[in-house]
Amino acid sequence: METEEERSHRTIEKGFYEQLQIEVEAWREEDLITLEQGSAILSTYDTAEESVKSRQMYGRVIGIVATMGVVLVGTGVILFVASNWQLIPRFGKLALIISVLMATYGSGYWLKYERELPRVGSAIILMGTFFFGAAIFLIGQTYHMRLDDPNLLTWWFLGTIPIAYLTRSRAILTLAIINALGGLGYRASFWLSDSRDATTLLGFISLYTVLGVLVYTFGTAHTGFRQSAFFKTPFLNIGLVTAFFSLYLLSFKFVFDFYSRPFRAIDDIGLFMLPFNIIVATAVLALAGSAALAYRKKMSFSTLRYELVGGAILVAIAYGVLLIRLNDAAIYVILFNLILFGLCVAVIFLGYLKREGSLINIGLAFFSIALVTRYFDFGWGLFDRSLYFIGGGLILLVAGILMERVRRQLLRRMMRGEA
Amino acid sequence: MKISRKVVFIGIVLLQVIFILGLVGFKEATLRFGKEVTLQTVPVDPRDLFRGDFVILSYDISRIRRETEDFRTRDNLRQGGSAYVWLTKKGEVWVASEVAGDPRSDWDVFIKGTVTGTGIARLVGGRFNRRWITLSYGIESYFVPEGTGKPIERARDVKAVVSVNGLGDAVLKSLIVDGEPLKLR
Repeated sequence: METEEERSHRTIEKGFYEQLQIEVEAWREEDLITLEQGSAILSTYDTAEESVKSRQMYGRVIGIVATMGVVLVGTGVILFVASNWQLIPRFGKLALIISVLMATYGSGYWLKYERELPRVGSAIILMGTFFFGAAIFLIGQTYHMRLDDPNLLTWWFLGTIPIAYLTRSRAILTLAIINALGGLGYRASFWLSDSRDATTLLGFISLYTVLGVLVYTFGTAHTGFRQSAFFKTPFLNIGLVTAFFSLYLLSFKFVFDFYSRPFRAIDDIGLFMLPFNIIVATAVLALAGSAALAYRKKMSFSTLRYELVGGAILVAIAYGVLLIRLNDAAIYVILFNLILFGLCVAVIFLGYLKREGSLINIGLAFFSIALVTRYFDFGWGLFDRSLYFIGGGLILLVAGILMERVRRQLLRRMMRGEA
Repeated sequence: MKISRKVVFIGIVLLQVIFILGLVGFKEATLRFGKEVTLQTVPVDPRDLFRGDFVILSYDISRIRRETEDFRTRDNLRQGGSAYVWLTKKGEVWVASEVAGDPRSDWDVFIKGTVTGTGIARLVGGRFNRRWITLSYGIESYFVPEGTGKPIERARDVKAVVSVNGLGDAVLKSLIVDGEPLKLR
């Protein structure tokens, strides 16, 4: 005999549930049952879809809670150790670091694979990778190494990337990619240290545009192999956000206002061009490699071609911005704003074609951010301050509602497989 | 033979531990067996919330004029690349005598740095507008307990005691503030 709990959580097919809804409504109209009885009957059942969805959502909540827990614990441990660091003898520090690291990794592995608590175990392994990074920085502090030594983040990246792939953790992979990008940024600060501030800014924008394309292309390459397709999302998202953010910076007038006379950034950029050229060549090779891999694996080019063309255009923009004569800011501001908005629309369209909700979200997010920014840029001096804020707020509310409706429609149509 | 995930995981963790031990070992070896030199420095004090207080140090040898009577440069230096500075003792401190892309065999004490400026990037109208080389040695930060950085900033004279190994790698040992070794609480 079913228990009350079992009775209240029966799963049925969606089609049957929809038919049941129609029947319950008919019984209510014929006064066979009351409204409350009809609601009670329907609430007894979950459709198969809802059941899977609620299990997935429950799983995600556990993962989020566990991850928040380990981030808080990890941060607390790091802060506690850092503030008492001077009191601990040098070799005591080393013993403490190593034992905490091994205990964290060991317990994370045991929980994930031996006790079958995968989400908590994954979160603790993630904490282990944070502790590895903390170990590097704390040893750096002990021996008075520079804060901005690019090797620190590079070592952290090299230590975490194999753990990410072995434990199939997208969170650790995300951390590793961010470390790699940060390490390259610190290295670039050495390459650009002899340049003017404006040129340094352009150099960083160009560098991170190309790095964004490179990271995104790694993501597309992962889809070529069944075992690695799981890891594509962090590469795609971080690559896209990095490239978008760089392009977003290029849409500001102040980037070009520094140049009061015809000037080319490449004339002031010194030996940054050598490593930059190497990175550009790597990105171009990665794009070509991605196309070759797709051809070899007989994958569809229907969406990949847009990604490859988009990537090539971004690399060309990143290179071109260092070569052009920057004396007429208005033209470049208009141009890069058009490119930015165009890219947002293109990414939304691409996300719809690929059925990747995250691409749609990123495209919409940057579209909104760019729109709001331009409103503040151009509207600030035009209206009375209070009207400006009221108008801006109303526009944002309406835009937010419209965009949320568009996003939901796109995602719904995507799920249904509509063209 | 298929290697189990557990073995690979343990292997990666051990590699991380070995890396940490190696990093510490390298720094300790430089401290214990390297040549001790005293460098003239000027401190500036920012605050890093995450890592306690630290002072940023800039050295006399961080900024070297390209051509003087006492000093020579070899023109195979590039921005972001390595450079080696031959150190000679002048009174209490060690000073830069020559800088080159590779250390010479007759140099007894030298320190390895990264070129952060060569003057080449500011080539305007075909002429160099700077005659300085700027270098970074990885010893520009000195960590102190919270709240103890200000006395260093207020000091009239600060010297850094640095240990340099046979490859030119340097590790900061201690500071001498107004003639007295800095004592940390």
